[in-house]
Amino acid sequence: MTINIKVNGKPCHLECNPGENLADVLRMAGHTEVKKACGTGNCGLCTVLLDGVPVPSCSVLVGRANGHEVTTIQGVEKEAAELAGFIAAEGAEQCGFCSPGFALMVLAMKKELASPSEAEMRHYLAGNLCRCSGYEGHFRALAKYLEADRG
Amino acid sequence: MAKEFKAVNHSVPKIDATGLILGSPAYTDDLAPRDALVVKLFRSPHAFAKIAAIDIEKASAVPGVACVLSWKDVERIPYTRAGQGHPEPSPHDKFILDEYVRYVGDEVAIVAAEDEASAVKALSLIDVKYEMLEPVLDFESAADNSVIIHPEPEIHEMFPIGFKPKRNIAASYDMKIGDVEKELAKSDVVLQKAFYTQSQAHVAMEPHAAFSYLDLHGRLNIYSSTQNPFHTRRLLGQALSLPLARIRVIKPRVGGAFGGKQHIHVEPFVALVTLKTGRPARIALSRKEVFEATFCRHQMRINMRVGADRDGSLNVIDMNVLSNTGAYGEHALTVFMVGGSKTLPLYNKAKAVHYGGKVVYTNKVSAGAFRGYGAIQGNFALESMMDELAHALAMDPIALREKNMIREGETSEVFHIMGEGSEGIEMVVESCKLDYCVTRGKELIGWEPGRLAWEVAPGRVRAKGMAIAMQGSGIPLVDMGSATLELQDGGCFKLRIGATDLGTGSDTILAQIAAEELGVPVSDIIVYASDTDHTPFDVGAYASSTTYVSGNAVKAAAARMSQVLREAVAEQHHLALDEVRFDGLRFAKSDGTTIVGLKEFSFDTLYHNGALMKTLTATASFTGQKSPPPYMAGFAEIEVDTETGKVDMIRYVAVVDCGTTINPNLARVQMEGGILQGIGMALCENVKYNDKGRLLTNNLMTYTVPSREDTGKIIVEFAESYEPSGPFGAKSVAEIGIDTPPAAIANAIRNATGLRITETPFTPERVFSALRRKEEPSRLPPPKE
Amino acid sequence: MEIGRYERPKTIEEAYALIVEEHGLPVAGGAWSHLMVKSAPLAVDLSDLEMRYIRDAGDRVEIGAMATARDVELSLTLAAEFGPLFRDATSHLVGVQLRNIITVGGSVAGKYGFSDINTVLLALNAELYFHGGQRIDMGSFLAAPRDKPFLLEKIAVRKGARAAFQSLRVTANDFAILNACAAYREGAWRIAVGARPAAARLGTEAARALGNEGRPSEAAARRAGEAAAAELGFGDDTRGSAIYRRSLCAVLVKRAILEASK
Repeated sequence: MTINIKVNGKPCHLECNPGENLADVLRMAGHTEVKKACGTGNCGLCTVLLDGVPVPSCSVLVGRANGHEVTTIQGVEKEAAELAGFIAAEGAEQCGFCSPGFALMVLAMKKELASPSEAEMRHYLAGNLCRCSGYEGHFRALAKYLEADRG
Repeated sequence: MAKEFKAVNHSVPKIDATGLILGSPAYTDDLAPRDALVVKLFRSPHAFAKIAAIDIEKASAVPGVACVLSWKDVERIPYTRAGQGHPEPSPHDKFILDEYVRYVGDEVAIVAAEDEASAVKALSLIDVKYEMLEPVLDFESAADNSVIIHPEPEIHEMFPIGFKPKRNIAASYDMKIGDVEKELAKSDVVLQKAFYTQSQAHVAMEPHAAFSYLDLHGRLNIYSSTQNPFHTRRLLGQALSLPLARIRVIKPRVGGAFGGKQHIHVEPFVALVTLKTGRPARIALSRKEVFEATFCRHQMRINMRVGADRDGSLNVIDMNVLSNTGAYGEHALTVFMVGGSKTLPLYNKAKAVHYGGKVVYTNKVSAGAFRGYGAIQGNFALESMMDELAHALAMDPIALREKNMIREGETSEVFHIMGEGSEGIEMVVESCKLDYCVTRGKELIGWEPGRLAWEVAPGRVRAKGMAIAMQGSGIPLVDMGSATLELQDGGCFKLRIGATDLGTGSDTILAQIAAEELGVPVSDIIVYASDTDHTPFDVGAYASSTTYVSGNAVKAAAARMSQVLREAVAEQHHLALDEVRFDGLRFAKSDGTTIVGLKEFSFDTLYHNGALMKTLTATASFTGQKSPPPYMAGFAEIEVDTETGKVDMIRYVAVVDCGTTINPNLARVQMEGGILQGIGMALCENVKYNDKGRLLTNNLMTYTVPSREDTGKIIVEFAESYEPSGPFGAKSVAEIGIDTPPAAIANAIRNATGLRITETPFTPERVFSALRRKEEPSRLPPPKE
Repeated sequence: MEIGRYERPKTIEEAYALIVEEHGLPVAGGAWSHLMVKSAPLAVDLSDLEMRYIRDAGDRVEIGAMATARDVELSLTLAAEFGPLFRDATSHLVGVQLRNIITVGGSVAGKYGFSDINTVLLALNAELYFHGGQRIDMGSFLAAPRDKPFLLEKIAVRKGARAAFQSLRVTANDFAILNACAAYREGAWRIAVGARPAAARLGTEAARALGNEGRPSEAAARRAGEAAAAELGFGDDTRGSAIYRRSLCAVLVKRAILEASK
């Protein structure tokens, strides 16, 4: 079937099988920033925004996205680069495989939660797994990032 | 000891951080060529069977399928997948494809097609008739079982490792110091217990992947998510009967490994397809395949006996270990030995020590390398036992350890007895701040010997427990790393290293070491790593070797580079060598007058110096004469819900001596990540098989790793320490973080409930069952006089 | 997942025809179907049918079948009526991303054992509204065998109950080893236990043991918990054994009752 989605603001026409998931389709269309790590919706690495709402793209059938807008980390590059600086400054990005999905989720969190506590951030971001960092560095980075954002 | 460094001991951001966060295509599967054949594997549904017949005709006829390969299409060469030096201490017991399948998920056939759908279609059309065999699923009854998992005549060990496949034994080992039974008989208190650890899964976020192609010279090029490109090249050359000159292996960015990629994994499959078809070929495993068909940690049973006197002197440590290596013997002997070599020296004053046992085959997922590498299992048993001893002696667990633990300037007989697969190297411990780690950790956690457990609400108990640990820094006289520096115009330097950055940041810290030694900014070091065609040899990232071994090689190369630069300047400017000083920016005479700036000279030597023009390079290699251990003290504060058995992490304090931290932020994050993996092994990473040998915990819904809300607060501090043999005083920090949580948490649970849990993970059900059973530790009374 | 034909109808009548007459597989969030269904000749995407709402409807709250778990988690309407109950029953699962696509209708229609929200809906005696006029209570629906194809439109929960949800999981965002909900309405308790690992069931003996006492003592709550543990069935899976679940049931039911009594 033919799928028309806007990816990062650009129209995208794809021929896919209806049973394919959005993560596979995006990667085949060249969006390698969308990572596949678990296939069951548990890890958050495939997170994209569907009409601005974060979803696990591995668990979304491509037909659902038809006619809608998808944003990956590269669609919010400027904000992501700013956040990236704070994460890098803490050494909190290790292998980097979880980072694009994590960064995108942080930007989504900023829109949904005003002044979250660390506990609220941990809860909001719980669906983004990281096996390298132990998570603590992320929160050191986020505390500084959100403070700089407020200031 | 506290030195002022310009580049080292600074938290320089990782050179690849921003690019990776923004999702640059950098990992193996991102880089695979568009037109590569998609490779998929047909896997055994049975734990043990012989392939009686395999029909690939219908599968091969599917439109878009380029080839289907079975064991009949592959040259039969036994090899090992273990990423280790040559000769490998692991048995050569693996064929790329075999007539036998030895675990559920074992590869039966390789399919390569133009696209995924055709490959999947072909898989469904492969017809296999199996002759079913009775699987061996219980590692405690594997040795001398009537069922032999590896009857093949061609398999062999490379040197004696106790390989007895007809008894299902992959390796065995035994060592002793002094007379264990005699010292036990003399001891006031003797305790005995058996401990069990599970076959933890690495769960690196990036699934295993590789792609291959033939370049214009007809050479096989392989990109792989690997920890050891050079071993991969050598092992593939052997398994594929290809001269090493015809193979190139490149490691791009890797999305985590933790030991899971210290093996050949999917490379042979894409290589075979490329060699057969001439086409590029790619594969990326699903998460299910990573669980079922890559590697896991060695499951162990450790029978421990300790003997001590009433004053707290530890006389005897006796460890009898049974290790489960699964279907194939990768890392069997070496993981086994590290269970003793990286635990026993903690208590170097014991009069008698024994460490021995065997590693057995079972028809389960093959165990292999995993951070800690035996030390975490050994630590769980030993450090749990130390607390039992403390309780029996009515002593503070910390006081007991302080009385017996190793101190700076001391040695242990274990160092020269136990190496990695063979004998070790004698070593005096020149840097050991374990005493400080314990004292400082006590402060941070608020350790009060009389108040290690207290009720916070009806049925909810808070408690503290601790453990100490050591690890190593590379394998002496076995692990070797090299580095080459080359001056570029513009005054910067190419740094070519074989060392393998897995996300750990080694590219960055090795650049820092080079920069420090040369006196130049880190940003003037251009790193290129892990490409067997273009970088000098390095064993790869394992055994906590990169900072110490590869780091020393980089430092030596940089020192040599400084000399080479001075020699060239002296030659050009007609000066004696000792008249030329270099401070990183310029070359000057001893009276301070500038001869020439570095940047200027870099142009001179490449463009202006006429007959004297030359490329200035320096190469150095390093192998350790010893393996200076990092040390740490870990302290857990937990809360136990005694009605349900649930254990929550409140805090984990770790004070670490890793010598100089080349990059404090990265060292801290390595520690925090390691600690959380240890907490996962201790509390929630349960492994379950069904009675037919099928792994049930084979995805992230059923295999639970700690989330952001399960960490509690993790607090890491580093001791001021300096290892004279390390680059700028550094030791390793990669593995040690994982070692202490199982024992520290078990000890806290013991303080909370009076119960000794001896099997990981301490799931709510396991703790609850123990609470209901109210088990007492078994105790052997000392013999009467 | 293999899908032959994919339709996204714009009206409920269209969707119903595709499901009933052409045996289409209803796809709500899609989160579970892609894991549990290998192939479907026809998939019917329900996302354009305007069934995504949570609304105050006088004496009850109506939850559209396509309301997501995240909608439920954040719903002020549900919070106003039931306090933190619905947030407690949804906020654990995996992550915000997954909760943005999981639907209440999907969880109910799938009768999933692991579902937390099904246990709450059972305890609250939710009423299920199907296209075509059929109505059935949650308990009967969960217990009934899979029947003819259907299209679930909305779930109604009557106001006036105070209820609490309890669960235990190995990690904070794992599926529950066991869950329980205790609800008190108009002089009677309903005790539901789910993730047994099978789908939620009522502990009728437990409820009877409490009588019409709206704020039972700790001892009474404990007895009710033990009654629930004795009367319900439990099984083994990777998360826990039947024996453990039975013991856990007594504890979680007791805690749910005491929390609902506050």
